[in-house]
Amino acid sequence: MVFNTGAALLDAIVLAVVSKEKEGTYGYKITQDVRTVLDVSESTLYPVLRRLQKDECLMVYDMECAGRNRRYYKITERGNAQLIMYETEWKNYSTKITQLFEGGV
Amino acid sequence: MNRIEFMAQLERLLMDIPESERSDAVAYYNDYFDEAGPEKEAEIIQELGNPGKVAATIKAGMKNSEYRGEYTEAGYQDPGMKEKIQTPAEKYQTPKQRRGAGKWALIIILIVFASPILLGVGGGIFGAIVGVLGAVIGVLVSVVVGGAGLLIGGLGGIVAGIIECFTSPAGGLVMMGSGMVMFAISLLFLILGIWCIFRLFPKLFRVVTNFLSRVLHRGRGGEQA
Repeated sequence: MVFNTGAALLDAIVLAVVSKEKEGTYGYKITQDVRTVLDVSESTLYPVLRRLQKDECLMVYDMECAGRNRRYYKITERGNAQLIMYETEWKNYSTKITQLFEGGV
Repeated sequence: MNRIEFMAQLERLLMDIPESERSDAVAYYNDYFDEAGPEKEAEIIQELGNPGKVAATIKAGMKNSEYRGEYTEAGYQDPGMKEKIQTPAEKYQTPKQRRGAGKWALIIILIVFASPILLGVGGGIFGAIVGVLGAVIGVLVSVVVGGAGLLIGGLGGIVAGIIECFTSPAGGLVMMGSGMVMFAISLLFLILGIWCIFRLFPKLFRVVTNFLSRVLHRGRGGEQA
């Protein structure tokens, strides 16, 4: 992709990916899901998840699965509000640019 | 490098961050390897690069959360060096215009205050150019007039010398000789005059116009800067 993804957009994508799973999802799957739309490296998402967790947009919980602990991420109320804000902003932003590209300002 | 070595190195590299941060990161990557499965172990290690890079990414993420890096195809860009994260409200503000107005005001003030200097300097330059042109014209006129004088004098001398030859041949020859010398010098002046008109003047003209346009351009550039 020729466009750089800013921190805010990456936050938004991660929040959206996590919010799709009602029961929460885990690091490896989040990375794979994000990678369906964005070419991120495997080490990119840990700091993002950690920060979103600290900002209380995500909560973590451990669940035993196949004899070991798996860390799950789940979106919080606050994370949901943040995601809605991001979605609205994205819609405004992308609509303006699309309009510009297509001729009508 | 296998998974065990990778994780051991990563943990060592994270010794300088708080225990809670370290254990969280290590747990995350251990988990990551578990989820991916043993068959993808080598692939993941290759893609992660080296533990140093992963450790740097983790530490960068811990730093001042006001500064967030950018994630590009090339990976995480140095945080803190990049622009500050913007809230959506800030995003729509354009401080550029305000800066533009201020800049114009400064330029106008600068022009007003600098005008005496600009006029003085400009006047000086103009005077110098006129002076140089005057000198050149002066040289040319003197060459032409002097050359014409020598030509007439030389021709006169030759004619007078020929006439003098009939009465006193020695004096006549001296007059003819000096007339010829004058004639030769006048021819040199003629060549010099032609050279001035066809070679020196166009060159000088170009030099002067180049100089003027450079001064004017720099003046305009200065206003914009």
